[in-house]
Amino acid sequence: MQSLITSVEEFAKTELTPETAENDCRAIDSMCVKINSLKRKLEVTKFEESLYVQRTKIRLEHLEQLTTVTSIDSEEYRRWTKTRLNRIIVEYMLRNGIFDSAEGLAKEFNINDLVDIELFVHARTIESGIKQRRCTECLQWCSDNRAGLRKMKSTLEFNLRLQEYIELVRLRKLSEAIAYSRKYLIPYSDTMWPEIQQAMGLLAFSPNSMVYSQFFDESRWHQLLHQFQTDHNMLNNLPSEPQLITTLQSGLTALKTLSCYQTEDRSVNCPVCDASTFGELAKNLPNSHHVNSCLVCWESGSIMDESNPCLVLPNGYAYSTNAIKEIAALNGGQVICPRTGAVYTMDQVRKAFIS
Amino acid sequence: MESLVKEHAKLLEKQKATASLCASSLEEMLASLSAAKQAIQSAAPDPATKPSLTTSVKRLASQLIDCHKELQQSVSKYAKSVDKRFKTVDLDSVWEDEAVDGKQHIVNKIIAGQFVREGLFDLSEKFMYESRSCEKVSTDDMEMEDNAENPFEGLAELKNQLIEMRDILGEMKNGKLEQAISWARKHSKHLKEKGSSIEFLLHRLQFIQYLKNQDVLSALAYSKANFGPFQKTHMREIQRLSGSVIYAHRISTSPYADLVNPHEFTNVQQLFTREFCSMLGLSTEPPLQLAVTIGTSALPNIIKMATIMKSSSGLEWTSAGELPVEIPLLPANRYHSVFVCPVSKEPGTETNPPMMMLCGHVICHESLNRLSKNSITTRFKCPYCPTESTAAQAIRVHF
Repeated sequence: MQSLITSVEEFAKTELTPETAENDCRAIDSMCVKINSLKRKLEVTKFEESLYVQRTKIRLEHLEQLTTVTSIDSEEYRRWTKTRLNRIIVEYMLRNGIFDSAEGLAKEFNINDLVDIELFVHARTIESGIKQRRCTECLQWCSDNRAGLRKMKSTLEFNLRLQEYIELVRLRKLSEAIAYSRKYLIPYSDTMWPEIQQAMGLLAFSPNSMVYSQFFDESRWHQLLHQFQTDHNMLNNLPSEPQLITTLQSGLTALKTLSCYQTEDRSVNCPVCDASTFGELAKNLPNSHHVNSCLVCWESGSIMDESNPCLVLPNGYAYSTNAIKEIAALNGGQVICPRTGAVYTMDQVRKAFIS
Repeated sequence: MESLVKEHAKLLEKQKATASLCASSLEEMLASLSAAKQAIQSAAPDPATKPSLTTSVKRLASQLIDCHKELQQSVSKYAKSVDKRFKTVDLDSVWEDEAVDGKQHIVNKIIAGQFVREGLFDLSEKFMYESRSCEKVSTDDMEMEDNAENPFEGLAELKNQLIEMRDILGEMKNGKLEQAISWARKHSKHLKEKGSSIEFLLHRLQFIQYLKNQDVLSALAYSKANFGPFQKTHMREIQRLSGSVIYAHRISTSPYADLVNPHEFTNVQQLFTREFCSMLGLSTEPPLQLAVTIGTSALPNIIKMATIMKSSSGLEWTSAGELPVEIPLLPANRYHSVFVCPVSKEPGTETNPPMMMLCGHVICHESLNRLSKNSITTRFKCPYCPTESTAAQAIRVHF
């Protein structure tokens, strides 16, 4: 934009004479070319802008839907939590590089606008570049996001340049290395001077020497990868770990009780009781804490409270009133304990008082 | 929330206006440039061409720049209002590595299981394949023996049980309810015992479909044939459905518009999935969905607790054997009995079980010992009622 204005001003300064007509035409042509390229770039940007604005609108609408839900037990709430669950699963898949399934899931439930698939695909290409010892894609990303990275005071770009310099030194292309350092490392001299000094020292030693071995070490690439991931997450305001795991952990610990790990108390509805999956995950998590007793009937699964009091058989096993009434009705007045098989009569059953 | 929506609408308008202004300004510039070119190439050049060209280009350029500045302001304003409305929460503070470390294959199994529960067999296959190949790729730095054990075992069995459900759900997606209705009819006795209304809801959905196609006669015939057994339980709804027939030609603008809401269909699908699974003896809700829903509502408490614990004792919240605060759960989500002794406030365990005294009050074993001074013959008074008893008369209660 700026260059266009300056070229127009220069053009205006020249006098209008028949001899310079040809030059003027050429100048106008070049300005047209500039405008056209600007137009093309703007079209792309505008398209992206409108896409993102649309996306934020859809996300806002999704959140607004929650405000219209009246009760936790309703199907609407279930539907909303289902969408949230799918969104979180897609994010987990994206972070672990499972892109096809993520796209499939997003298409199935129509949540393409609630997740950022392109963002993670792009990040993955950069990561694979780093894994293959290439800094180019990452440097491109750094230059695209320079403003944000500068605000975060990130050292990623400097480290990438340093790594390319190290690779040049490793191959003993010393004159190229020096030229590279002049062009790319010196600009950082006021902030990263000690590192630059050390880098210069590398020129004197061979890659296999003991001194400076930390610079030539392969693990620097792992550190670069890690730094890119951290910076990428911070720039886009993402938590450093998948939301699925964090939420799962808190849910499991809220549900976990001591009975979950005892075979006779296993409930088919409790996720933690499933030893092979959730139970395994919840092993290292703390148990849930309860201030008041809450008793669940083993037979019927209903809660035993004042409307459905707890009755205890002489052998110590307790069930809810409704369950015992049903058992008695099925067995002609006799109460057979479902867990031990012992037979009692209705008057042997005592009421328990839990406060 | 509403103010956010308004802000966003403003932003959307601004963005659209900027985009169109961009396009038009650039077009204008091109037009004025080509006009100036023609003027120069013509025989009698006008001295005023150049200055006028300059001014017009400058004007358009500054217009464009101003417009963009305003857009930028709108965007930052919207961002600020989003930040104000939603508190930023640091999820990293609750991240605990050890709990899930090295167990990624279990998480993948859980996710694949979730898809199978929904009847999305293809998606689960794709996911299983991709996750295994991704695991191999990510660990290729270290040596990894090809794990002969299939981490997704057990899912094949689940799939077999749910094949019928998947087929029925597929038919439902295409709008055909016959299979679902015949399933409901087959299990009608069990469903009635459980108090489920899925059979009626399926008939209702079929009725609504006839209405949507404005096929009033079929709708009435259907209701005559099928609504009979549900008179006692769903009379009001049947009455309402019968009334809706009048508006068959314009149902979406009538008082019965909620009947044709597409969510009605999804709701019945969800309910059907749940009933099918519980009929098979599986858990009613898919476990992952349950855990995540509970987890999300538990997160605010846990975050607060984690920050307090860290700042006061420096410990991670997962190192405690038990959570220090209670996380409220809905009664429907209580799957196990939890006994808390009213005297000592400790939970009942294997080593400290609940004991019921003669009067019927239940306290934990240690409290009982303390009251009876560790002898089985001392008579003591129950803390809650004046009945006296001995420790020998107390029995252990199994919930």
